[in-house]
Amino acid sequence: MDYHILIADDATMNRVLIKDILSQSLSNITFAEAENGKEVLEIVHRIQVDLIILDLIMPVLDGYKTLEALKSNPEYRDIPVIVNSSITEIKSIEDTLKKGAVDYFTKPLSKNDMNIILPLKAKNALKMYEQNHTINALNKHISEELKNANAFANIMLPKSNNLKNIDLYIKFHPSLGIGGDFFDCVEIGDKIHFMIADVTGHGIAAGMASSMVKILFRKCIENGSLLPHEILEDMNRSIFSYFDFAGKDSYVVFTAFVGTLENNVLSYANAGHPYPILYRCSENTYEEIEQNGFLVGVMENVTFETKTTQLKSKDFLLLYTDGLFCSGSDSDFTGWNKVFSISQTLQETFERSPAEYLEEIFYAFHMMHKSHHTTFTDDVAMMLIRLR
Amino acid sequence: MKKSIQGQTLILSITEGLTANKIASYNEELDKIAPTFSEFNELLLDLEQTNNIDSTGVTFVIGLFKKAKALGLNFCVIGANSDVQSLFKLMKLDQFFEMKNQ
Repeated sequence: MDYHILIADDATMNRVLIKDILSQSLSNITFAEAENGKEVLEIVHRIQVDLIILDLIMPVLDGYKTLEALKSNPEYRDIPVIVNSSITEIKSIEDTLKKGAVDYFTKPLSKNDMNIILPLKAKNALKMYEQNHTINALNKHISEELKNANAFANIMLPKSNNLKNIDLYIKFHPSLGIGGDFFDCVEIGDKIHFMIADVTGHGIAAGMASSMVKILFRKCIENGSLLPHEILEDMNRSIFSYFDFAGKDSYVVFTAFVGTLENNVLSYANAGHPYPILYRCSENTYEEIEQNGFLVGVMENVTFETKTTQLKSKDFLLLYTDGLFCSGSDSDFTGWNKVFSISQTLQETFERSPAEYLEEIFYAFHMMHKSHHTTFTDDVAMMLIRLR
Repeated sequence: MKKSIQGQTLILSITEGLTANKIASYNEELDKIAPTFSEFNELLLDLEQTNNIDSTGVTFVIGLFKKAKALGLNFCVIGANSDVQSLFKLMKLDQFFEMKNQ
């Protein structure tokens, strides 16, 4: 790869000297020259420059202002700048390094500077710049991939506008554009099947796993006859029969809460998921659906249990994943009791708008994390199902 | 992760959080220790200094339990605080192994 070095100095002799030094020790180098800062800015605008050797005392636009202009422009701020100046005051050195120069040489250059130090520092700066280039290109590529994955994850979200027996509201906040939280809600005949799950870990691998969980869930409810605990057991069995790594590595391990709603009867089974909240409208009471259960995907032949409860019109069920209350290293990983209390304090918002209610719960936790100088580090999924 | 031995009992103490960002290094350490499991008849996982755990941490504990069980070792979690115990109970892990307060 060819590198292009820009030497900025108002003295021709100095430019020639630097050029000679670098030409002798570095290969694949081409040079551009500038007599003042204005020319520097014109050159970087016109051509790709990989390193700038910058004098400070120059006419028209001096080195300090040139450095400031370069570092304040997102297009040029990553170009490494080595200052070469006759100013020896420590304040000047400190200022330019603070402004973003990678190194500082004082003129006249010593023999060691010329033969060893400057060529090595120039080489290192070029190498660093190239590595930064590669990292930036990689980051851009990953961001694009995550954007596509996020679009795909959004396609997988349950559709809330085509359900005749319930109102469905969702809030999804994947931590890395794509995440391991998953929820689904399907109406088959007069029966509603729903599930919320949280695949261990987050990011791309968890996102891939959550896509599989969706397919497994949809396959399980195809004939509509399985009870929630049978769905969990079937999914667990499927993981062990489909994947060699099942039980050894935690790629497809998840907590889940699976339920059905039919004739106002809620049937449910829990696989280690934080307790959902049930609001009974006629009694104006909130309760946690306390049921414990093993994680899916870690042990073969585990069993789950289906329980039922009678609901009435306008009752609602709030399901969420632990990303809501877990954040960072000091998080409260058993914070489902906080969800329980916050969901009650925001009842007025619910009455105004259930969608806003979910946003407000999310915001309440956001503020709580903020007060602990943390933020959401895991995926957050919330689903609210209200009977009509 | 610290390792100590008391007779036929191997004690592994987690000295930090048991969270996703730490599990890779715990697994590396475990790979070195695991070949010696068969020399013991009991494995204790000491969580006294663990104040934070997430789902990846839970799967680490389950993995350890499964390794111990496969070799016929008794497995027990000791020193877990009430929050960690609540989480393990939510996931019904208390049905698979014992939890003791030291």
